[in-house]
Amino acid sequence: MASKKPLAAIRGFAMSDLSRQYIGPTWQLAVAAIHRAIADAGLKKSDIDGLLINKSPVATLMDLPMDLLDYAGLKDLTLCGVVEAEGSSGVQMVQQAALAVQAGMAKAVVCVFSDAPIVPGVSTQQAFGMPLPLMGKLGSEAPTGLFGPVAAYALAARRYMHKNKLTEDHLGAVAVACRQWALKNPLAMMKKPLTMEDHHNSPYVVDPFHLFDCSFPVNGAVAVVVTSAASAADGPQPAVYVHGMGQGHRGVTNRRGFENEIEIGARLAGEGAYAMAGVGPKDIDCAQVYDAFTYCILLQLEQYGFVAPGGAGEFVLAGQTAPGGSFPVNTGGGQLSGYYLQGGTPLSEGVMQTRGTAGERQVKHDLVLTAAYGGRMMYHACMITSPHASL
Amino acid sequence: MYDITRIQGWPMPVLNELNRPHFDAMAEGKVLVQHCPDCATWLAPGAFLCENCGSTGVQWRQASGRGEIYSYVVMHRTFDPAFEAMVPYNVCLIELEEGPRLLANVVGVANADLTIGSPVQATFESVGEGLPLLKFKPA
Ligand SMILES: [Zn+2]
Repeated sequence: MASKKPLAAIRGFAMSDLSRQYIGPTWQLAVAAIHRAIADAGLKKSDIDGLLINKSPVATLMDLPMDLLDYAGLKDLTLCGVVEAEGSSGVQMVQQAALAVQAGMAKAVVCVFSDAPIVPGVSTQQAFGMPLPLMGKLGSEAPTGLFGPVAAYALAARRYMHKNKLTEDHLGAVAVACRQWALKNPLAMMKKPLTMEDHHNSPYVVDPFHLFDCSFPVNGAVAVVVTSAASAADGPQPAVYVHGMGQGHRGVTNRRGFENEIEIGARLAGEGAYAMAGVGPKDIDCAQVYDAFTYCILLQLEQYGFVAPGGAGEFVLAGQTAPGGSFPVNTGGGQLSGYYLQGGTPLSEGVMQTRGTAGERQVKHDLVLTAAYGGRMMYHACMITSPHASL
Repeated sequence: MYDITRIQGWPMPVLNELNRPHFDAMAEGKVLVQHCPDCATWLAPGAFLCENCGSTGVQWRQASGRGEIYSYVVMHRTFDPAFEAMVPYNVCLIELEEGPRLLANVVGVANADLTIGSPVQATFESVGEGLPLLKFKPA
């Protein structure tokens, strides 16, 4: 591998309390995570000169406003803004912070995702149950009854399954692997073992997705402090060096010749990050990816180059991504069995694995790929991190 | 997200100049999509320019109504009372023979018999309190 200096590093990391019940407004959870992350970094509030904010795409700016800096007691920032790239923002924030640190615009940038979709009077089902324009521009989801992200993703999954001759066993294997990891993660919400039979016997939400193909809303926040590599090396925690970053955005083209369900921007994002880090998918030890639905892990395994196109179903069915497998994926249980905090989920597990602080679920972590996407897998951002300053 | 309204009691997107012709044509039994006169690309409705060549001269044009099922789901839950009596109901992505893909419900076939690639033909059915809506049936 080429000897390359890191672009920047994650010096501090923390989460708010996580809950499947209402534990406070979005901004309050964000402030808790921010303060804990600053303390984790061994810094004071006065050391922070940048703030990047990521709200849920279905929340409003009122839920997590720019004046979060006042609520958090941050002053005299030289960088402050909202990163609005849907679910990919969790990773995009770190990318933008790294660029700002490199350019000298800021020295210590707090990046925060926070969401509280579960509020009194709104069920967890209702939290994401609106028609979303995930199929293109027209808005024909409502008259045809295609509600929620689950339906749009199920439509994509069916096409992918058809093309690759996959069955519900392949989806179920993803859910089972994630649950096996979750059982090793004290932060994970799902505490009961899950079998393939449990998966198949769970009710359909939107066929082909059973209940256990879907993630579930959680209230909580994730924050990191991004600094220069040198600063992070001086911090109290193991530095998480960022060696590669990439994005890929392919959009949705609703006509023949475009298979938005199978070819997504993740390929482009991965190629960019690998080239920047001077490594390839074969060098990566584990991956933390956005997994709102089981199908998403399968497709990303292929698009990020870990498995040949069409091969992910058999790869996961053989247990390769589960504990003890050849390529650990979503080692905290992911969004499917851990906690759904959008891009904050892979970000948090990516940091813990790279630091080597993942306890019972720790895997080899010389190179970790962390990836997040938004929309119906339209917007992708990823990064390659390492505990080593030079590769 | 986009704004949802009710027309004849049925959930619909708020209509504007970009989507209204497509929905209005349903009352006349027509499948109206868009077509670029500059590069001859057929486009799914809602385009204000051609995503292939960038032309702003995109025109509305009637499609044949023939197509095939590109993908489909069966909704076992819904979040709108209009659909409650229909559960489980299908929503399909139909690839028209001209190329654009449209979301629609397919009627006249059991959900268990839906298959990707099977040919379908446009049909129109009233929903809600009499709103004509584009559906598809086996061809
Ligand atoms: Zn054109």
